[in-house]
Amino acid sequence: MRTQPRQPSEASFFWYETRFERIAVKVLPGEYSVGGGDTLIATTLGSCIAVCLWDRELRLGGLNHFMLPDGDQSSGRYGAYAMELLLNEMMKRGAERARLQAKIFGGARVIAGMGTLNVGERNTRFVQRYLATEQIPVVGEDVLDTCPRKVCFFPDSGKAMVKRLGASVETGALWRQERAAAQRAVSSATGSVELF
Amino acid sequence: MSHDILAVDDSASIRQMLAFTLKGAGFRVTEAVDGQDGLDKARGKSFHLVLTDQNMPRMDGLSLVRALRGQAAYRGTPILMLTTESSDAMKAQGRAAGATGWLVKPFDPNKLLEVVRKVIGG
Repeated sequence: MRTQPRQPSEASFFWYETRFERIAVKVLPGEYSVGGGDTLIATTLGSCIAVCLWDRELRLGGLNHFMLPDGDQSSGRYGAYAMELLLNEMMKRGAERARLQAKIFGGARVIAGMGTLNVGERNTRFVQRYLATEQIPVVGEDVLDTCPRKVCFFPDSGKAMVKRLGASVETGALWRQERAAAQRAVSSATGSVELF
Repeated sequence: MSHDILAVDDSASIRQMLAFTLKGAGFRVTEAVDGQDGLDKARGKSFHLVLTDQNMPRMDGLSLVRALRGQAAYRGTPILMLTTESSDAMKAQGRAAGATGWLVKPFDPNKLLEVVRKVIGG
């Protein structure tokens, strides 16, 4: 997984996770990762959403991490784009839509007083609607609420472990970091047009 | 005159967004769920424009372009690729296959309509 050529937006930060005695890859906001071996895929979420997709027959899994852009009409398009990057990479490696199942995490309201913006809820509703439209069953979820989460996804088994991080995490900083990275990802992903 | 557009994408969400954008601008839209479905629908009807994704099950977008260009009825029809693929190598394959243009997702509805009107000439 670490030696394969990487696509734009594909996660590239690897380390050795001593707790699970595996190589792990960290997925940052705007990124995704797909794998089928024993490499662990991990991410830390505030208001953002992570979707774990798993093809049970190939034992191939992938995880993305995204946040919808602020309240304009491009939100759905960007969310669908973020999902398509992950889906396409899964399909390039042989996955089939009909075999896919999803687990979704994140969408927390991580700053006191941010309830009016409903950032986490908006992200959560989007992904639930998207997966329903695409007819990909959701077999597990831990969404909304107020705490950040660390998600560890095991693409060989489809198992996902979630740790709620609680008050020890600087949630405001996490949210600002997520939002800045997500907005960077959105602006760099703005579609281009080329006529031949 | 209203034009007929064939929109080919395996994502139901993207098809919904395309149909919403194009129908809102007065175009008639036929949806296809992958390249093979697109090819089948193109055989039964004449379209003024084909808009297709690249990565799809059964038949991908480039294969669809090649298959359509092999038919006399579609030799001069504008075919736009609308995909997450943005590499120069993929675009070169698109041009070689006979695509009219390459649009990278996520698409901006106004920009999409501008390009559609330009290639359709309507």
